[in-house]
Amino acid sequence: MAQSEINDDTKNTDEPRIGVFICECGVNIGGVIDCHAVADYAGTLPDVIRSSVNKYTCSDSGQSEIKQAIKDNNLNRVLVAACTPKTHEPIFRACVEEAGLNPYLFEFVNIREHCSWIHMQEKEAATEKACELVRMGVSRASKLEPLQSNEVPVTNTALVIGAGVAGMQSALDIADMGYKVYLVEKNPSIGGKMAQLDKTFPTNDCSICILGPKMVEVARNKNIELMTYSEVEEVDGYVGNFKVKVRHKARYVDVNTCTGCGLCVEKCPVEVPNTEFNEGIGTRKAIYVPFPQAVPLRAVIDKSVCIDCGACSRACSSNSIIMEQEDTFSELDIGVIVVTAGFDVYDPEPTHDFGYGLYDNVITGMELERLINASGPTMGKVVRPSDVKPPKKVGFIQCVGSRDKKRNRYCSSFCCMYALKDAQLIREKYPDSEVYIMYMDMRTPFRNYEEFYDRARDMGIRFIRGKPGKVTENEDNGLKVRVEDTLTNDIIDLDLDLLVLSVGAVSSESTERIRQILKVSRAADGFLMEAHPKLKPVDTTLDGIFIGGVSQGPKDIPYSVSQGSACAARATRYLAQGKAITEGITVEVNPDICVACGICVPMCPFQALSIEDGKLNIIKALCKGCGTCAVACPTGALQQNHFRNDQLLAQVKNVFTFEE
Amino acid sequence: MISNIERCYQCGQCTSVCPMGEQEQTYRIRRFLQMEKLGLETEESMVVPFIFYCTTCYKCQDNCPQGVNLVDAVLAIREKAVHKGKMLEAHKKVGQMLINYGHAVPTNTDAMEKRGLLGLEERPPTVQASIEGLSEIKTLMRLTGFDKLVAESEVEEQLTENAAMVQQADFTQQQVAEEKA
Repeated sequence: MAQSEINDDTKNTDEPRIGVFICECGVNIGGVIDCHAVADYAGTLPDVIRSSVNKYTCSDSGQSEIKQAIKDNNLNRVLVAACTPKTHEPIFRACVEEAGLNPYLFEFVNIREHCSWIHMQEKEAATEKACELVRMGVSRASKLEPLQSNEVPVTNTALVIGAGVAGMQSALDIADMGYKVYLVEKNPSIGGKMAQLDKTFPTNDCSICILGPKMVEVARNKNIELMTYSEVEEVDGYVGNFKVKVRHKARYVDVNTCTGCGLCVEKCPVEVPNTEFNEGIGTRKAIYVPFPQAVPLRAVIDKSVCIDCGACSRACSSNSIIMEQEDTFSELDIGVIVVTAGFDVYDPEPTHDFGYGLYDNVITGMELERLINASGPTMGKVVRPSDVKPPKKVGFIQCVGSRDKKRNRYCSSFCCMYALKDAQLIREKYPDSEVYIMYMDMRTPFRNYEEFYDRARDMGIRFIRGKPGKVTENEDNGLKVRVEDTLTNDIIDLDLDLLVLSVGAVSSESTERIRQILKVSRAADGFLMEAHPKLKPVDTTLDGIFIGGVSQGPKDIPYSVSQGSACAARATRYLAQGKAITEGITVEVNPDICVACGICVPMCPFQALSIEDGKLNIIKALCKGCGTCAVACPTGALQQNHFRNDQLLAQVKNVFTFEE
Repeated sequence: MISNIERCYQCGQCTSVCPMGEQEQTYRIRRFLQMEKLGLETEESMVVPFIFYCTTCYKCQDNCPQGVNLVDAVLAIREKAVHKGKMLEAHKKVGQMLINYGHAVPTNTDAMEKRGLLGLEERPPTVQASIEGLSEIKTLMRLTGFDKLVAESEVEEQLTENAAMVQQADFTQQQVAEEKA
């Protein structure tokens, strides 16, 4: 530790007295930047009372040194030059607060991501740049002013959007902790994608057999108010105080009296493809019960195809058909929101990947799930769509729509496992069949997954390491697949009866709709963005809004369930405390300059601004301190606290030093 | 490193769409890429004539899930092979044509006749009709070392019908030069 420079002690507390702490971050910074030289330089800057170097400033000893220095040197500003404010600013703010300073009198300079990591090969220049960054930081630190964060009360309720397995788990956990949960699902039944699956890896237990009881539990739980066939329309407010408008779509069936007996379905004369649950295989009626285990087990009328013949009405013994029903709305007061809005299965149809959409016997993995499912349209018989005969030779192509720069770059993570599972199921049901899996890399991490892969090999499933380039149709509607086995260098022309495309996950339209309503960030892959990829995997950058399941990125069932629980745990922190701390950095208006032009109002992504009685009104609790309005303000009346013009300009002025 | 081949994850989709792979069972574009990626400039990766089989149809590149510029890579590997003296005899001959006449396929007597019937000059207004231009081409070929790459002792002995036509063209060119003089 080097005590570089101690300026003469002045007792005037109004004058800035800055302490500078340069962090080596082990070799992350210290290996590139000469930190002692930076500390020496900082000591020569105006208002700097002391400067020193630490190996790890965020460690206990580093923080103690800051606190001690504040006391010893009567410091009223602290500057740490270290890593990123994203992870470490809260730590140092708390540290200076413990020493009696206002937490906003802390200035963070990033000399790791902004300097040492990107200039590893230019050590001298990096040191010079670090000095410049510290110089700029010091000039801003001297202009910092104390700010207060506010406490707001939290409404004791949670909203979970999407009732797939992740959302159900989240709702159950929050409800079990004793809080009221509104669980909103856009489909007529809860259950999500998992309800469509046949078996689940790595144990091959029946999907609906393990999901069904959970669905019933959700319906029975007194703390959960289930809103199926409903969609979130509007969300206003902020953490602890969200106002949510939910649309309940008309079912044209009274859910309180309908028993789900299915008499109406029998009588209905309109038959359309079952795209909702059976991936378009087989048909359903205009009035239908989604599936036998649906929760709630109630009929719903698809008005877009209904011919208003009244057959269902006459068949219904409980008079539950209400043709004149209209959409209704609920207004909810919500404390915290969990988004588990799910995903869509990649659609290979538009680009005709591997002949999908051109040849009858090329199907997707999800279509196979419905074919092989005992309660599916073929009662569990795997058949070729062209002739409804069982296939002898079945092939799977992996990574369809995934790991492909022209489609989606990411790995959908569950396709290897579901292909292994379906291949096993086919071999079990049809021991004479030949099953091929054409893969590039088999990815089977996590518990019992590798063993599952072993089992597939033991069962005689054949693996070809290569991605096919060409699929053509034979005269008998069989398929010829040309693939290079990259392990033997042989080009194989494989004759198959059925070709299954292991399609991956894409972010769903409904997730995107919810995202836009909530203003949650999205990553380049289209999935919702977490606050931190490792340490805040289910948080968003918005307080009180959490994300889980596949809406946050492709994942399998165990991982989705874990995230559902994680969302519940993170969300209930607010409910248990009954209060939330809002950001101290907000925007401030100077009423003498503001002309109430209103340009700023639509700029605010959080609806914090409004013009009332010819005056600008700011709801501080809504303001996130993003600064968008301040930039738009034509008169300069809006100033962002902590990022005021004088504070930023002080920094800008000191980008360069000029010889006198 | 050539092009962006480090991206290649060896799925073999290129091989299975390759029309040349269909003709020649030992032709594996995926393997060329892997050998190049690992810096294995072995006999196999540079083997003549395989490396010259690619017709640059771009089918592999169009299908590559990783967006690898395969055709660029093949051309670059070819270039390396040529610099190592691995080149097809036929290619060398074409190269020599270029040196001798400024064209890979010079205008032959047949074409000249037809041009005459159409009321055109016998020789198109290119280096074929310009002694100075041709000598510049030859200088360029010498300075770039192209002449050494395509030099082949046996060429003279294997004169083809095409080469015979070229001789004829050469003769006419001399006549033109004399007339001008």
